[in-house]
This record gives sequence, structure tokens and C-alpha cells, in this order.
Amino acid sequence: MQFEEQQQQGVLVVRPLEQSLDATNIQEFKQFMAARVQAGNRLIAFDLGEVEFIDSSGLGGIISVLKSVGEEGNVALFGVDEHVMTLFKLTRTDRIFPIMPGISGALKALGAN
Amino acid sequence: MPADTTDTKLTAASLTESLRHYARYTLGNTEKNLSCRELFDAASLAIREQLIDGMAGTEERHARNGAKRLYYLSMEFLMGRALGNSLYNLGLLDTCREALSNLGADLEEIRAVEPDAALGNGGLGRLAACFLDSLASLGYAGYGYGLLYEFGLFRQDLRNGRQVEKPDHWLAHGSPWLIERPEEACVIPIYGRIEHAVDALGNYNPMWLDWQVLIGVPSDLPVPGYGGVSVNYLRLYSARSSQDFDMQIFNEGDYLHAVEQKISSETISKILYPADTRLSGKELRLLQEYFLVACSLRDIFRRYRKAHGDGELSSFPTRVAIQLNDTHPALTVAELMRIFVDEEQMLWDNAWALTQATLGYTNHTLLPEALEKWSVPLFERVLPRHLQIIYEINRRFLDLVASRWPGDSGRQMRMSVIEECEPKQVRMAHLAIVGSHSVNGVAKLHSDLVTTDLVPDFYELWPEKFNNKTNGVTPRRWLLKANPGLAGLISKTIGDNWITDLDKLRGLEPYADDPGFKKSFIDIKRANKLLLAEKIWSTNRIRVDPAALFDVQVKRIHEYKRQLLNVLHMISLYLSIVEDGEELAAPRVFLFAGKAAPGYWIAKQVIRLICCVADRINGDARVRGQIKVAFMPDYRVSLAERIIPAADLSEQISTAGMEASGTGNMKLSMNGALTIGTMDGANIEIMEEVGAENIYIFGLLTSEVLEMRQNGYRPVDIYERSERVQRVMDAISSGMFNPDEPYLFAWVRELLLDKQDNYFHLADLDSYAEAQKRVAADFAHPDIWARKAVLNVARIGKFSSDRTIREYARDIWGLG
Repeated sequence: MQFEEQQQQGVLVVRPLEQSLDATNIQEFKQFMAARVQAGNRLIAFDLGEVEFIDSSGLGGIISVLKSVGEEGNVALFGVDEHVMTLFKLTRTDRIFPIMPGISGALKALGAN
Repeated sequence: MPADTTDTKLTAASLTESLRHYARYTLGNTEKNLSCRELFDAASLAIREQLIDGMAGTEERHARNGAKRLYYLSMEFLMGRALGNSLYNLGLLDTCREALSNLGADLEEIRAVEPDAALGNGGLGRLAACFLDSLASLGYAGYGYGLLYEFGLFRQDLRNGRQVEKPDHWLAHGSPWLIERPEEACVIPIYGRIEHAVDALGNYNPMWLDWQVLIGVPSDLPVPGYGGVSVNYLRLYSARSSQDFDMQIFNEGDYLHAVEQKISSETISKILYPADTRLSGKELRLLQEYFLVACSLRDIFRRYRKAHGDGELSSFPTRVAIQLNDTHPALTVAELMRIFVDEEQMLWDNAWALTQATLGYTNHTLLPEALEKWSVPLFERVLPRHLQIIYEINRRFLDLVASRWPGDSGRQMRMSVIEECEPKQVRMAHLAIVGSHSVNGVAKLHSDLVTTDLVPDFYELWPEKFNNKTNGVTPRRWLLKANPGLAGLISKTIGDNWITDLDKLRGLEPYADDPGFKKSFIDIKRANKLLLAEKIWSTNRIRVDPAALFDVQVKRIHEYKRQLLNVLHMISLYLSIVEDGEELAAPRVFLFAGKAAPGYWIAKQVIRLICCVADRINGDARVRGQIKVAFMPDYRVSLAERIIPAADLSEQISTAGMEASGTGNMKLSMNGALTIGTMDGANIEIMEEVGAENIYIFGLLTSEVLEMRQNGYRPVDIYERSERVQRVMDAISSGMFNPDEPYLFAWVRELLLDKQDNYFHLADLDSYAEAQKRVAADFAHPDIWARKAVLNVARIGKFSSDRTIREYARDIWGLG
């Protein structure tokens, strides 16, 4: 699984370069993010611009990142595809992290420097 | 009558060309000779062009007028064949006949090739189909939503008098009428669990996680209204597994698991559950029901957003009406709330107001065993978020009940959406009532019993919700199409406005005494009977006399419908002939047809009994052909269209208080059969319309049945009092109908005599037999019979489904 990552205003911005986040690649995703959180990253913005499909494992993976950053951290999403957004709304997982149209909104939501 | 949507009428020549085109370019047949199936496909595809144009025009018209849309949700649509119906409704019957004749083919032969779309069990499914025809014929923006079962209601074979079920692979050759819409597929999550969390503002936020996904792919079946007014559609969903099937191929173990998942997902819409008014309780059925609801609502919202934008939803109920056909789609209550609250982030009370304003619920049965309940553990596993929502609905509802009747815990328990037993059950009827602004029964008596017997507490709380909408049937399929002879005679006599205004049949009343008209009427009935006699010969190898009285009982096999009572009478007549040497006033043919649910042992035994009695009677030379008995296999819409126009006597003999309405009763009366029946369901209203002197009523009333039940019904008392009952029961016990298998029919005595028969067969036998004597006496005078039959036809107008739909549209749906 491929990623792009960069630091912006104190936030780790991660862009999974996969069309799908699902049971076949979510372990890799979790391992990748666990390492990043271990390294001290607490404010994380996921750029889901490439992702067209997400299943319950994929969703669970993103939620697990939110849990791992703890009270002082947060996770925001941006660039979310229409179909993926429907799933977030349907499962009420859209209410536990900010979902913004673009990177600037996500950074602002995370209280970036 | 509104103008045709098709500006240029199709000619026979252009239709012939169209047929050739489809045969060559769609079916790939470049040869000169086309098979019947190919001609059917080509003809249907050619006619479908008209329907597609009609659908587009209709959609455009409704959008332009901002028409409110009605969505009729049903797990069953018993549509039958479509080609003939489309031709009649589009006015293209003669054109198509000529076009096919140009290719050396006969229209009737081509029509006979089409399999029935049997996506239903019986009355409830056929009602939905009649409703679609009326919605389109009346120009309403009314659409059906259902499931595209790969296998419809099983085909019934009879082997040695036993029902054998065969799969109904109705789509084996595909269907030219279905238009698949893969681009409008929707994603439906099921199973999973709820994780209790808190949102960014610190509010409780239940998340639905670890779900599996189903894909619903719609196909549209065009529904043409009569006269080219509108072409609506029936949208049917098929279940496919999600696209990640392709992505889950990780190793061989995963591949096989992925295949199992794919098969299991696609099972959802594989087959119609064949139990008519009996519960399966199976998880797959619950999944089917949710699948229908979830796909339909996704589509409804998608259309709503397309028409009205992404803004707020307060106008939703002014633009959308949803009708629940029985409780099968009752999950709509919870799913609508889920969409409003979870996805649209609405406050609960606002969401609830919109939900109630949008939904209407139709109850179809008083039989307690037919009321749907789902176990809470099953719900928890399959639809965890919906269960949460239902609990919250119930909590608020019980608060309302408590405030209205403080301290009345009995009321709370009776009314609760959750039944407190082991395991707990979700009462779908209660959910439907609580979540709808309208609750209707399907005949006056039934609707009254709903309020007095079924859910009196709810009636006391919300009397304004409860109303009646007496069922109806479409006169297009059931008179114009099924009985062209009679339809032609009527139109020749009073014009053809009756086709869209069935009350106009009253114009026939004066002709009930017109000898010329009556002669034509009788001739047409005779011709229909001749055709049916040919069919009986070809399926049953029994010769029947078209001059005999065709005594017809065609419906699902059920104890409450009392085919058994009919058999008892048959045996009584048989004994009077062979033992008493009686000569019947008129010869009689007893015709039965209908399917038994595969798991319903007694119903299957009834079929066996009928066939054994038939063998005995038909083979007994002493009978001298005065009685014949036939059980026609595989009763379905297309067979009903042949039997009903040929019937003289219509058997509607359910135990009073059990048949919610019936619709076969209306079809038979509309085709000039006289009814023998109990004061049950719509029989009562038929009697009110046609006149008590033109129908043969017998048997216990609902109140008498109740009294007998309360005082303790002892069939043995009736046995001891009635010579006829004794004689018939003893004959059955003697083994005369089962010489090779001694105890085959021991269950009959046990059911009717030894145990407390819940259906009161013996209590009604003498009254029934006396009524049958009156029938026989009248039939022996053709003039008297014909007069009554004409008056039945003349006075049947109330039972058009057009009237029914107008009432729904006015009182419940608020359509213009």
C-alpha cells in the first residue's frame, strides 16, 4: 500500500494512494499509522481524494487511528468522495471527526499553527 | 378521456418492420422462420418502445406539474403476463394481431408463450398489481417498489393427487419487459454492531460498524395505464454482492470465503417466500424486507433531492407519500427515522412528524398467526441500529400511552411495540400503526374488526388514523382482457366508458329483462365454458359438459377458506345420487384450483382429498355424468383469466370474520358468476350492491362464530343432530375415497369432529347445502339465472380498483 505524507502547520497530512480502503489492505494502513502515532504525531489529516470505496474494515481502521491519538489528539478528513460520505453519514461516523472539503478546512478544524 | 401520449399511432406495417428489426438485430435471428418465443420477444420489444416513450412523457409531465409522488411498497406483485395487457391498454391489440399475421403468426399463440410474472402468493400481491394499473390509468404519479425474485411462486404439479412443487424460473429466457438500471444501484449495510460513542460536541453518538454490504440493482417494469394516459413503472430490486468481491481475492482461503459471501449476498432476492398469511420467521425473509425498504428509500430520497435540491426536508410529506402493503415493509418506519436523524441530522421530534405524515399502512389480515413479529435477538444481529431506533420510538410511544392512561400497565403491555416474552419480539403491526398517519382495512367488516378486535387500544388512542378502503380489481385485465366476448357485448350495448368508469355498468340494468341481450349474454358464457372445457381436457383429461353449472373455487388452499366445506357438499350430493337415486336439478362441474404453502400439511391433504373424491365421483358410472370434479394444477393469473369468465357459481365460503376482503369474489361477479358465500369480507358489500336476491348467502355470522367460540363449539352435537353431516363424515371415514390407503383421511374426522374445529365447517354444512339447493333450482331456469347474472355485472362498479385508488389518493395520500 502506498501513501503520501507531509507535515503542515503541525499536522501530519496523509494521503492513501489506493482506490479502496478495505479488509485487504487495512492491516497495512493500521501498521503505517501506528508507527506515525508512535513517533509522536497527534494531529492527523487524512486526504481521501484517491479513495472511491471503503468497507466496514476501512472505516474501522480510520476510527482506530482516532482512538490511538487519545484525548489530546484529533483526526480530520478531507477530499471525501460522495459515495464514501454517504457511508460516513449512514453509520454516524461523520460526527466523531471533522470532515472538510479541502486541506485548509481540515487544518483549521485541527487548530493548526 | 385524456389525450394519447403517443402522437403517432403505430400501424401494422411499421410494427411488422419493427418486429423484423428486433428479431434480426436484438435476437440475432437472420433466418426467415422465427420461433414462437422469438416472435414473443420481438413483439414485446417492439411494444416496449411505446412504453418507454410513454414513461419518459409521463415523468416529464409529472415533473412539470410538480406532482406529489406515491410509492407503493410491497414484497409481492402478482403481475401475470404483460403482452396482452399492454396491447389492450395501449389500444394496439388489432395492430399487433395484424403485424404478427404478416409474419404468419397468431397473436393468441404468441401470447401463450409468455410466462407469468408470479412475484406474489395470492390476494395481497394481486391487489398490488391491480393498484398499479389503476394508478397509471387514473394518471397519478404512483410507482411500485418491490423485489426482483429470480424464482417466483413455485409451479404446482399434481402427481397422483399430490401437490409437487417445482421452481418457477420465470427469467430462464430473460424478460423483454425488464429494463435494468445498474447506474442507479445502491449500497445497503446489514449486520454489524453499534459502538456507543460521543460526537465532537459531547453528545451521544451511536455508530454502526462492522457491517456487510449489499448492492441493490433496480430494474423497471413499465406499467401502462389504459388509453395511453400514463406509463408508470414498477421498480424491482435485485441483490448483488459488493464490488469488493473482486478485491478480496488474497489467497485461496479468502477466495472461497469471498465466493461464499457473494452467493450469500445474492440469495437475498433469489426466491419469494411461498407462505400466504403464514410466517416463516426466517432471517433471510427479514433481510429481504429490509433490502426492499432500504433500496426504495434510497431511491425515493435520490429522486426527491434531484427534484427539490439539497435543502431542508420539511416539505417531504407534501411531495412524497409511501404506502405499506401489510407490515412486510414496516421497517420503513425505522429506516426513515434513521435517514432523517442519522444522515440528515434532524431532531427526533421533527423527524417523527415527517415520518408519520409520509406513511400509510394497510392491514390485510385478522388472523393472529399472520401478524409479523421478529425476535429481538435476530433484529439485534441483523439490524442493530434499527433496533435502537425502534426502542426509542417505543419509549416515547409508551410515555404517550402512560400519560393518556396513567397506571394502566396492562395497556402498556398490550400496546408496546416490543412483546415481553422469551425471546422478546418486535410487533411489526404496532410499529406500522405508531409510525403512520393512516391505518386501513380492506373491506368494511374487516376495517371494523381491526378497530374492535385486532387493535382496539390503538383505535381508542388515535381514532382519526383508522379508515376503510374496500379492495377493488382492475376491469381492464379482469373484464376487458379476460372476457373480450362479454366486454364487447357491454360496449356494444352501453358504449365503452365503463372501462375507465365502472359505475357506468349500471346502464346494463334495464337489459336484465331484455331477451335479446340475455341470449347474447348466455351465449358468451357458453363460449367461455367451451374454451375452459377444452383446457380442462388438456390438463386433466376430464370431459365436462359446458351446459353444466360450473361451480368454481379458485384461491389459495387454506383452512379458513374452507375448500373442505365445498368437498363435504360434493360428497353429500354424490351420496344422494348414488345411494338415494336422486336426479340433480342441473348437472354440475366442481372446479378447484389453488396452491398450498409447501409447509402447510393440512392444505396439501385437502388437495389430496379433492383429487381422491374427484377420482371416485368421475369414475362412478352411477353418477351418470351429473357431477364432475376437477382440480386444475398451477393456479396463477393467466389461468384465472381463463377460469373466471367461464364460471357460473363463485364459492366465497370462508368462516365469517376471517377473510379480510377477498378479490376473487369481485372478479367472478364482474364476469357474470353468481356468488354463494358467507357474510365475510367484501361479500357483504357485494351483497349490498347487487341485492340480496341476486346472491346466495348462508352460514354463521361473525357474531355467531364468536358466540359459539365463547360458549364452546361441540361439533359432535352437530354430527348427532344432522343426518347430512353424519352421512358425509361416515362416508369419509369408511375409506370409500381412499380404498388403497386406509387411514389417509383420518385427519378429516379428527380435524372437523373430534377436535374443536376453529373454522366451524360442520356448523355451516346444512345451511350451505340448503343454499346450494336454491342455486341448483335457479340454474335450472336459465332465464332467472341470466337475469341475476346480468344484475351482478351491472351492479359491480364499486369494486373497480379505480374507485379504491381514488379513495386512497383523496383520503390518505393527498394526491391532486
